[in-house]
Parts: sequence; structure tokens; C-alpha cells
Amino acid sequence: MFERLQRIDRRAVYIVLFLLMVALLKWPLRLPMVVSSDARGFYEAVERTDPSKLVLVAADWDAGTMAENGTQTEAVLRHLMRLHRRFAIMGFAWPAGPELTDGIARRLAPEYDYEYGRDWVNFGFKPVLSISLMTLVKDIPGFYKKDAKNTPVAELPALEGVRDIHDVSLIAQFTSAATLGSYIAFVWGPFKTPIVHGCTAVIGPQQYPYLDARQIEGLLMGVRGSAEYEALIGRPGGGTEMMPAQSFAHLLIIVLIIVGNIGYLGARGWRQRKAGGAEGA
Amino acid sequence: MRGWLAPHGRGHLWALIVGAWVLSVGVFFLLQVMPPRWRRPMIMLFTFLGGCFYSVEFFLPPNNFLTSYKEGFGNAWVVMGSFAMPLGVLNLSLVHVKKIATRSGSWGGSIVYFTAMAAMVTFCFWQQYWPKSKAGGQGFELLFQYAYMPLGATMFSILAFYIVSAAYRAFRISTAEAGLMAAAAFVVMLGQVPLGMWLTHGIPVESRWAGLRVEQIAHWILAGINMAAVRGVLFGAAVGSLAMALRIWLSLERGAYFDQKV
Amino acid sequence: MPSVLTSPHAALSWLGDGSLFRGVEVLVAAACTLGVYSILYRENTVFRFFEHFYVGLAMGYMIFVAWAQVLEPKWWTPMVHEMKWTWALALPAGLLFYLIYSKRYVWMSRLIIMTSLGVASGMVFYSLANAVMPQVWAAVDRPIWSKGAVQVSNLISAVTLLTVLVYFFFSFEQKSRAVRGAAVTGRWLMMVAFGAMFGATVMARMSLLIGRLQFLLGDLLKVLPK
Repeated sequence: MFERLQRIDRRAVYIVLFLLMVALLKWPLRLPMVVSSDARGFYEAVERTDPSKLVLVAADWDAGTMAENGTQTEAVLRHLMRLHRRFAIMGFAWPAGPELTDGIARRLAPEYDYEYGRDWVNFGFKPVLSISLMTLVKDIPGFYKKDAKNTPVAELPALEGVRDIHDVSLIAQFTSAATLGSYIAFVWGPFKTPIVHGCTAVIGPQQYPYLDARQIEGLLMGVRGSAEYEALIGRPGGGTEMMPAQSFAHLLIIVLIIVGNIGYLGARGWRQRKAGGAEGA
Repeated sequence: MRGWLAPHGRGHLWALIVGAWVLSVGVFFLLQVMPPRWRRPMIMLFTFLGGCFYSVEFFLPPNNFLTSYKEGFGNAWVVMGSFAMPLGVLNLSLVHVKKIATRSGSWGGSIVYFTAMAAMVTFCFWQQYWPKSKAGGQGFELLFQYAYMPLGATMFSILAFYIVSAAYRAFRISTAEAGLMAAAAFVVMLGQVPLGMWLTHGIPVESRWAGLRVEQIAHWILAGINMAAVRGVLFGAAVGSLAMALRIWLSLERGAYFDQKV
Repeated sequence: MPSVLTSPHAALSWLGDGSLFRGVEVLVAAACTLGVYSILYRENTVFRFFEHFYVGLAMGYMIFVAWAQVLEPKWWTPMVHEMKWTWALALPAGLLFYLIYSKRYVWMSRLIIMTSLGVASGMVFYSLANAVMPQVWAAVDRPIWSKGAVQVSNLISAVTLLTVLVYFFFSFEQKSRAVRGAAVTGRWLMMVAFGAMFGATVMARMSLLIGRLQFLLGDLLKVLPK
């Protein structure tokens, strides 16, 4: 029996996982969410942004992490739009990041009476993260020259009065890769521009030293971070909808690990008893 | 720029541009006829000079003579970086061209690869340079939002099944350390989700026992022990990266690529 | 029989919430999703098709971005429209990268590659000063004794940091019992960190799957509550 506990067919496991997720998406079991201080720090940093300055939204993620970074970005963009903050989308890690973020902004814009060019711009992708950051802090319009749609920056009202990093009140970086160090080294270090960070849960634990050293003001980790932020802005969205299924997925994994180990430890104990009995005989 | 180096009109501009390219071709041939024993020192010199800019600018007092060149230098390297971007595309494309040419393996997939690439390039440029065209915009939206995005998201989501399978089959608590790791994993997994938070919701947030709430324990693990451990690894990595950077800058690094014959 | 099941036009319109083209878009997205998920059963031609399709789309988009968002505004426009002809020298320099494909001229590609590595290496001092040094100050800025009591959390963090550093110290042999003990403690505390990382990784992977299921159930089958 213990051996069988260790050898449940993986396809059966996949089916159980699939059915559990489908059931919880269809009939969600909503439980209250406790918001962490990390997400609250992120929220308060956005609340503190200067209305006369620009917010930079760094979209360093790709389609693969849409469920995490996409929902985080949507929640934060809603907050920025509600506060009527001008923001500029940029990206340095994945070519598709800025376009994906711009797609989210375009979808939300009618709800908040936001207009491209007047209220937000998409700078698009630029390679070589570190050098790009080091160069743009001195002269943002000079570095970008045009937006992603080929419009000269001088023709974009959202960038009026924006010269360099001192005209930026916050950088909200969303990423699926270890890119935060460069922002801290080349932007926070020399200029102390506030940075907030939304990341996938895979790299989340690695960002805590920066949070502890106050190099970032707040942290959203994975879809939990999205759900927390949605709770803070009072607007449930993708993150909140995922949490019931997420809860039971975690429970399933814990149960499977325990079942697998009961089988393993039971079989090991049985083998040891059998070996001991044989020696005694 | 003064005199004939300052372009007066488009014809003069293009003459200067083409002249620069012709000069580059000349330099290319000069480099090629150069004695081979000069090649490695030349590479070492370029590496050193490349590293000098930002490091000297950093060590000199702020707003030194190099600071005003930072923008131009940075822009030049961003452009260099973008010239290097198609390298990966070229490499992959050559692999697929070879497959099609030799009709080997899944050469049909290679045809799909080139078709998809051509379609994406076409619609991207179409919607960029003819933004009023509905067909271009719709084609780009279809390919980017409804093909590229779902494909990318789905590829990564397959990992969910694999992690469930791997956790079940491979996570064996055979030592006390593994048990500690499992315990920490369970607490963090439960502390991230409402179901876990519900388990200890009976402990009031304001009470002195609030630290025993599962999300508080999970946060303490992440922001306390995990943070310190990752910081320790970060310090080690920082020293390692300094050593590696100095080895590359001073051309002391050895290995498969660095020891190649020039 | 409902027209949605008999008429493709009606079905697409239903999928697209009234819009035919949006119905096509949702169908394409669903086909891509289910095609990739077919690998879970076994290796098959449908998955291979979508795999190559995805890579082709990604490469095509990269080519577009390299020109439209970088080279065109930052190289071509200054060179041709702003009369900064010296940018012309960037092309031969950039093309040096492609000499890696030539056996005869490959050494010239090392010129640009090693220069790039040199430039990147020169930036390490910025990282150390601005990203790592504040970490050192933050590590020592956690008092172990404060307000007449031991700060347990700070003590544990300090012990974790020091023992993890000792564990990774390979410059000399760890002979003394104190050093070995510290290294073992560091390993135990790292197990806690790795467990936390595993837990976080599980959350990440699961959420990606839930995201796709939301699309299949919501946009395709329309069975999710609004």
C-alpha cells in the first residue's frame, strides 16, 4: 500500500488539479484577505506621488507571466488613473512588455477618461538595461526622442515639463527577472527616486533584502500581491478572482507531498522492519 | 562641426555617410592585413578602454570631464545592443533553413516558424507605419494579443502541472533538514492564500498573539530568515561579480571563449 | 437547435460578444492554448506546430522592436533627419557582431563583444556602491539589544546572515568546530529560506495555470460568474 501511495499516475494528479481549479473558478469560495505591509507600502508610495510629476511604469515582463505581472500592472494602473497621475510605460528586459502594458492601459482608459498622449505614453522597449537607465536619468526626452508609435516626444502633452529623473516621482517596476538591482544601482542609488516593485512569486523572496534596506518602498509578490492591491484600491480584479483556486491548489500540493511522504516513510519503515526480522531469524 | 564635415544638404549628408562606410571597409581590410600577433593586444586594449569609461567616471569627483559624455556613450551602446538583438533570430533562422534544405526532422515546423515570423513582421510594420489601416491594426492585434500572448502564457502555465507532479514524486522528507524545508514551504504556501489566513483568523490582529497568525509567520520567514539568507548570498555574489568584472576588464579571464585562438 | 451550434457566423458572434472579429480572436487564442496543453497528454504534431508558431511570432516581434523602437529613433533618425552623420559609424561597428559566423573574420567579432563586456564590467562599481553597500548598512542597522530587551527577530536575522556567509566561505578549510558549527547552522537556516522559495514558486506556477483556465472558462465557454 505504501508503494502505491508513491505511485499515483501523474495524469490522475493533473486531472484532479484541473477539476479542482475549474470548480473553484466556477463556484469561488471567497475568504477575506489580509493585506501585508509590503503591499501597503507600495500603495502608500503611489498615493504619495506628486501630481505635477511623471510616474514611470517599467514593464520588464513577458506574456508568460501575464497572470502575475499583468494583474499587478492592471491594479496599479487603475490606482494611477484614479489619482490622475501622468505615467510613461517603458521596458528593458522583454520586447513585448511595454506593448502588453499599453494594452492594459488602453483597456482601462475609457473608464477613467484617460487619453493616450495627454495622460500616458508608451516609450516602448530599449535594450541594455543598465546603460539605458544610466542614460535616461539625465535626459528622458533626449533618450527616447519618440514614443513606441513614432510620435516625437515634443508632441506628447503627458511629457510636458519632464526633463530628467528629478521630474519623476515614482518608478513602478514590474518584472519576471532579476532586474531590480540595476534600477537600484543606477536610479535609486544616485538620485533616491522612490521605487516600488511588482514581481513574480518565483523571484519574490529574493527581493526582501531591498525592501528591508528601504531601497524599495513596497513589494507586490505574485498574484497575492495583485489581490492585496485590489483590496486596497477597493476594486476586485484578476488577482482576487484567482485566490480561491490558488488557495486550494496550495492545499492540494501540501496534501500530495504529505501523501507521497507517508508512502515513502511507510515503505522505508516496512523495509527496515523486514530487514530487521530477517536478521533476527 | 565645421567646413566639409558639417553637412550642407542631403546630398552632402549622404556623401559623408557613405564616406564613413567606405572608410570603415578600409579599416576592416587594414585590420585583416594587420599581423596576427597584434590581434590579442588590440582586443585587450579595446576591452580595457571600454571598461575605463564608466569606472573612471565613477571614481572621479561628480560632474567630471567624462560626465558630459555619458549620454552620448550610453546612446551608442544602446544602439550597439540593438544591432546585436537580431543575432539570436539569425542563429535560429539558420538552424531552420538547414532543416528545410536537408528536409530533416520536423522541417514542416521550420516552415511554420518562418511563416509566423513573416506574418508578425508584416503586420507589426503595417500597423506602425500605416496606423490608419484597419487591416494592419486588426492583424497585429490578432497575432500579438490573441496568438503570441496566449501561447506565451500557456507555455509557462504547463509548469504548474510539472511542479505538482514533481512535488508529489520528488519531495521526500528523508532528513531533518528536508523536514525543516517542507515545514517552511507549507507555512509560506498557506500564509500567501486566504484559506491559510482563515485557519488562524480567530487570533485577533491587535492581540499579543497576532504573531502566531499564519500569514504573520509566513511574512516573518520571508522578511526575517529568508531575507538574511538571501542577503548573505547577495554579498557573496557581489564579491564574485567584482572579481569577475575585474578579470574581464583586465583580460585575465580564461576559459573556452577567452582562450580562443585569434 | 440553437443557431450558435449550427451557424459558424452565429457561433463566432456569440464568442465575440457580438463582434465577429473578436470571436475569431477568441477562437485563435483558444486554439493556441489548447494546442499547447496537448503536450500534457503526450508529444504530438499539434504541439510542435504551436511551438514553432510561438517562436516565429516572438522572433518577428523582436525584429520589429529592434528597428521601430530602437534603431529607427536612436540611430536612423539622428543620422538621416538630424544630420548627425557620425552615427554612420555605428553600422559597421554593429555588424562586427555578425562576423562570428565567419571562420576567417571571427576574431573581429571579439573586438566588439569584448568591448561590450568591458563596458559592462566597468559598471560593477556603481552596483557595489549603490546597491550592495546600503545592504551592508541595513544589515548592521538592526539592533540586537534595544529598549532593555533582546530583539529576537534581529538576532535571528544577524545569526542567519553571519552563518550563511560562513557556510559559503571556501577560501580556507573549515577546521575549527566553531566554524563548522556556524556553517551547519547556516545550512539549516538556508533550508528555511529554500522552503520559502519553494512555497513562493508553487504560488507562481499555479497562478499562471489559473490565469489560462480563467480565459478558457470565461472568454471561451463563458461559464464563469461576471
